[in-house]
Order: sequence, then structure tokens, then C-alpha cells
Amino acid sequence: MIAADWGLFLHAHLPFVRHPEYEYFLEEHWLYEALAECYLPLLRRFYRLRDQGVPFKFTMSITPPLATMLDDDLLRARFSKYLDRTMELAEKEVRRNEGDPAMVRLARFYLERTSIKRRFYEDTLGSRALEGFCSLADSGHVEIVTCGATHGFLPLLAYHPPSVQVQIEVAVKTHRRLLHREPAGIMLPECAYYPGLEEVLAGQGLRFFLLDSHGLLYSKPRSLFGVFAPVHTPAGVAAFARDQESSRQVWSAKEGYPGDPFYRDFYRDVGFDLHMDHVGPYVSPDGTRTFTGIKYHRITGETDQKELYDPDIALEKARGHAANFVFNRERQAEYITGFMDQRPLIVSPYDAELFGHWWFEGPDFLENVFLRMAQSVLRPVTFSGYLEQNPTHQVAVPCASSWGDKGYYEVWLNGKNDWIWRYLHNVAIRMSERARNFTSPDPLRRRILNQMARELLLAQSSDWPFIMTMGTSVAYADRRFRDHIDRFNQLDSILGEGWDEEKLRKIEEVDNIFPDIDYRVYAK
Amino acid sequence: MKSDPGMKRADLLALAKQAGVRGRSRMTKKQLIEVLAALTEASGEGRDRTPASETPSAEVLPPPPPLPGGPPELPALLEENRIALLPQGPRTAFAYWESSGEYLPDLVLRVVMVPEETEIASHDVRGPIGSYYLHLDQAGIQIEVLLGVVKDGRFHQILRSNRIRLPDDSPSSDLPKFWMTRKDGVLEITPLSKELVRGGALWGAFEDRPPGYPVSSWIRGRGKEF
Repeated sequence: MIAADWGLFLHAHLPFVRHPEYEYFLEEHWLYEALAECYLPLLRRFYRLRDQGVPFKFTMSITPPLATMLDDDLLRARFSKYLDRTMELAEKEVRRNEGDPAMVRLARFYLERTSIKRRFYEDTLGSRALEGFCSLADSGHVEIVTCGATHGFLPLLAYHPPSVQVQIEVAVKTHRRLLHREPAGIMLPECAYYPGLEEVLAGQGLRFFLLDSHGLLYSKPRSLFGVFAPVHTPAGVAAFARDQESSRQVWSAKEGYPGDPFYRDFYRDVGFDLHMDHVGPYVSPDGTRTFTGIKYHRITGETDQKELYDPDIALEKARGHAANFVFNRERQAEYITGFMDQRPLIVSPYDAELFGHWWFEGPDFLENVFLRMAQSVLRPVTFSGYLEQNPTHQVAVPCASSWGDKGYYEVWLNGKNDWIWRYLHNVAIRMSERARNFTSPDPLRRRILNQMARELLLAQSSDWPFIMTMGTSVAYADRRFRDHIDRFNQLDSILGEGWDEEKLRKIEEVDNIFPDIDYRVYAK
Repeated sequence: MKSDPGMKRADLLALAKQAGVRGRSRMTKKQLIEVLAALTEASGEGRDRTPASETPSAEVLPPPPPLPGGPPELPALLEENRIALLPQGPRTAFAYWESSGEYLPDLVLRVVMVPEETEIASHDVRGPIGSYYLHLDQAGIQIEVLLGVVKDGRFHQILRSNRIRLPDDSPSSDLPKFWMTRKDGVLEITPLSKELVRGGALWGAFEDRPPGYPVSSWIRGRGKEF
């Protein structure tokens, strides 16, 4: 007998970082590291589960910027070189550590792992990670949904309603183009919701979205079953909400599984630990040290004296934690069922990049959760699958909320980043004015206007204010924001005063996201 | 565009001219310094760009190398007459404004609940460009802000903001009334029968929990340790 449904949701997102104007660009490594350490290990394990006939299902979002980067020829070619360099470094590490059995074992572990990963990427996936996710969607194991076009923070963009409309419309179109299917639902960027947003989602044919817990617990009227069943908004779009218990077991740095002392330490990396004579070719050419992915130590504890990592013990830990996670969900289901006259749904959303990148053993944990769950009274479901089986829900309007610190909008609007909003609103208003004024421009002007729309969308990414708040890579976020506003202004000026096709071509080449955008979406 | 109190009025005037500040010739030195500081702040130039220390990665990761060339300087004045109001939390909101009119030293920002138009707060602010965080007593209310001047005891409005509703921060007292069924793209709404309000039992469990205590933790703590 099934006691509860379990809705795993993985949110895969990275900001659009692509710098063809440079041979090497440090921030592009966000993508390469996520691919090598997260997306490929996850895909490989999901393929293995599918081959074994394990009945696993989950929902995930692949945001338009990430999908665009995964599909981009330049970035794919650069990622192949990144894998080559990692292989080369792993080979060098095996040679360097000969004579030290414990270290050479670890070095061989990385060499073998990288080799398997490269074969999987090139031979099984044809060097197209996006196709791997599509294959899992085709077999019914994963449901892929969309997100905002550039992960714009919708409640604060809503000052200019067309900005929200375009974020959703362009996202849906990009999803169709790159993932070859209609998105049934959406992961709201940063889980950020405001009442009325569901009307825009319904207008684009989206049938569900995800909230943080209090988005549903503070809904009007109150939700009958708390977060353990979705509600239908008056527009007919369903709203699911996060279960805090299962989130905390995985998310929390202190209470959660990833902090186990036997798991691999993220920060100790040969890119920082070894002499530059050895790692120089594998870090930034300007001498800035970077992560290489080869890490020999385990978390150990709150000490700088880190012990050596043991992959076998760590794998056993991941299996144990998976068993514990499933056991806890079963007990949770038993208890909640006493209050409900329908089967509860436990929704567990996580950033996909947690698994493998921040938590090295995360993909093994997930694989084992599904293996365990197949023997349990829990049933993994996709959100669409759940709604098909459970079409009737209470009607309610959720509460404005996000999954950021304190639960509302403060992470994206505070003293460190509030200055960006007047620029964002100003260029958005001007974009709408231009879209209404230029109804049938000549081809060159059309290109300028389309590029202005791209620059506006790229400036709207929630990543820039988020990074400004968090304090890492602030200079890059600040620069990217200013660059997009500045390029918009430059394009706007040549729109009225004369042509500079060369300047336009250069900007188009750099910010080449959304090739099929039509600026007139802003006229609506 | 950075000014400092040691600069001469003529130099400040030149900076104000460069920034497009209207009415600058009638401003005192103090007013010029004030308006130039507001412009610097509004363009993000004066903001702290040093990394925060709260994230563990900030302590370990090296700062990225700077991009070639300096970041583009954005125009401080956007030549618009606009006040915007943004929700930040259940009791906090952020207003920013630019009035392309002349410099007015003593502006008033009035907060009104709508649609009643009841004034709930008033703050002295400065223009023609600026921003302000509002801290309010009540969550979930609908508000607008008005920027203006007080002359002869009367408020004269210069700009009026958009309307926002602040988020709620507690469960609603409204009880559920309707179900909705979505099948084959068709939506059907039916009234909630009394028997189905047994979900209220779950809510009883939620309401007994200590304030701020996560729902599921509390359920776990009620004798079902797992």
C-alpha cells in the first residue's frame, strides 16, 4: 500500500556566462564545474537506475540561460577542453603520488572517474548534456519544467508588468526550442511569488508552480492540508509547496547529511594546495588559483587538519543517509496521514548544483534514495503525474513569498543592491516605449531593438543582486549588470542617431541568448 | 562624480552641471554637496562592494581577477519624474524617486493605506533623487506613497507611486470554501462540504505550535520522534 507520494524537485540554474571575447574566462567555470561535478554524475546515475528498471520519477527545472549554455557550441567545445585538462592533471597526480599508497589510490580514483565521465559525456550523450535530460523525459522518468527567461526576480519586476509577461513568455518559447516540448509547469525564479502572477502563468499554458512553505501556509483562505497537498489558484494553476523537514535534512549545513565528517571537503583542492609549477596549466592563466576538482581530504570536522578522503566509506555513508531519508519520510507520512483524508504529498525541492558540486556524494545519495524508495510505501511522482491522479484541490491564493533568507524579498532588495532597481525599471519602461513606437522597423533597426530586449533580459537576472548580497564575485555581478544597462543605452542611442553595424554585431556575438526574440513582446 | 566638503562651490557647480542637475545655480554649497552625494548613491557608485563575511566560501575563495577596463559608469540622473514603491517584507517597503524638476530641499514622503487614503506614516526626505526604506506596523496591507512639499500647513503632491500589497506573515483566519477540479483542461469549482473540513484537524496541530516553529518539526516533536 502506498502511504505517501514524494515529489523531488531539482532546480538547475546558472546565470548566462559566456565570453567569446576571451580565450579563458574564470566565471565560465561555473558551468564546467556544474557539468563535470553535478549534471553528468546525476545523469549517469539516473541512466543506471533506468537500465535497472527502478521506478524513479522526479521533476526538474532547466532554466533558459542554462539550457542555452548547455546547447552552445563554443561552451561545449570549451567544456571538452576542460575535461581534457582534468584528465591530464589526474594522470600527473597519479605519477606525482607514486610511492604513497593512500594518495595514489585517491589519484587513481579521480583518473578513473574523469575517464568514465568523459566517455559517458562523449559516447553516450554525444557531447550534449541537454539530450541526456530529454532522454529521461522521453522515458517518463523526469518532467522538465521552465523558469524565468533569465531568472528575473518577478515580484520586483512586477512594477513594470510587461517585464514579468516577457520573462515567462520568452522562457516558454526557449523551452520549446531547446528541449523540444511544452513545459507543463514552472519553477518561479527564487521561488518568488506575488498574488496575481498565476494569471500570467495561466496565459502561457502553465499548469503548476512551486512555493516555499509559508507561501501555502499563509494562503487565503488557509490551506486545508498545509504543505502536504497543492492548492488551485483561482486562475486554475496549481501551487505546490516545500516540505521543511525533508529540505532541512539535505540543505542544512549543520543538521543536514552533507556535513558528515566522512564526506569530501569542498574547499581543499590541489588548485590551491599544490605549487604553481605543478598546477599552473590547470588554473587561470593569469596565475589566479582555481578549483580543479581534485580534492584529497574529507570534511573531518571544524579543523584545518583535514584527514584523507576515503571514497568507499563515503559511499557507505551516502547509502546510510539515503536509508535514513526514506525511513524519515515513511514516519512523516504515517503521522500526516492521520490528519488527512487523502494521500499526502511530500515536496522536496533542492538546487540541482547541491548534488555533486557542493555535496560530492549527493548523486550517490539520490540514486540510493530511489533504490530504497522502490522497496518502501512511498511513491516518487512528477508534479504533472500527481495532478493527473489528483485533479481536485482546494481553491486558495498563496501568500507573497520566496525561498530566500527571511522568506520574502530582502535578499534581492537591500542596501547592497537596491540601486539597481531604478535602472531596471527605467530601461524596461523605455523598452516598452520603443516597442510601441517602432512597429515595422527596417532590418537593421529590428536587430538593434531585439538586442536591446536581450540586454534588458540579461540585466534582469536575479543572480546579480543575489551575488551582491552574498558577497562573493561581487565585482563580476556589478560589472555584468552595468554592462547590460550600458549596452542597452548604447543601442538605444544608435537607434535614433545613426548606424554602427560593427558595434551591433559585436554585442550580438557576445550576448547571443534568445536568437529568436521579437522585441515587440514588450509592446503588449 | 564624487564631491567632498573641501571643494569650492564653483567646482561643485561644474560637477552638478556635468550631472545635469537643474536649478543648480540657486543652490548653496551645502545643497550642492547633498544632491551630488544622492546622485552618487543612486548610481551604485557609493555602495559597499567588499565581500560579506557570512558565506563560508567568501573566506576561502580568492577574489576573481578584475575584468579588463573599468565598469561602465551609469548615468546618475535618468531624466524622469517617477516614484516607485517595492515590497521588501511583510512590514517593510522600499521607495525610490527622481523628480526632474528643480531641487527642493525639504520633501515629505507620505505613506497612505489604499483605497481608504488613510495616512499611516510621514517622513522628511530630500530630493530630487533619493530612496527610503519604510518600516510599518502592519503586515499584508495595501499602500501607496506620495512625495510632496508642505506649504502653509498643506501637503502639495509632486509624485505618487504605484500601489503594492505587503506580504502576510501569519495564517489566514479565512476558512476554505471551494474545491477546484482540473480535468482535460476544464476547470470545475464546487463548494467544500462540511465533512471535508476535517483537514482543520491538521491546522489545529499547526496552530498549537510555538511561534516561529517549523510545522513539520513540531509534528515530529509531538511524540513521534523519527
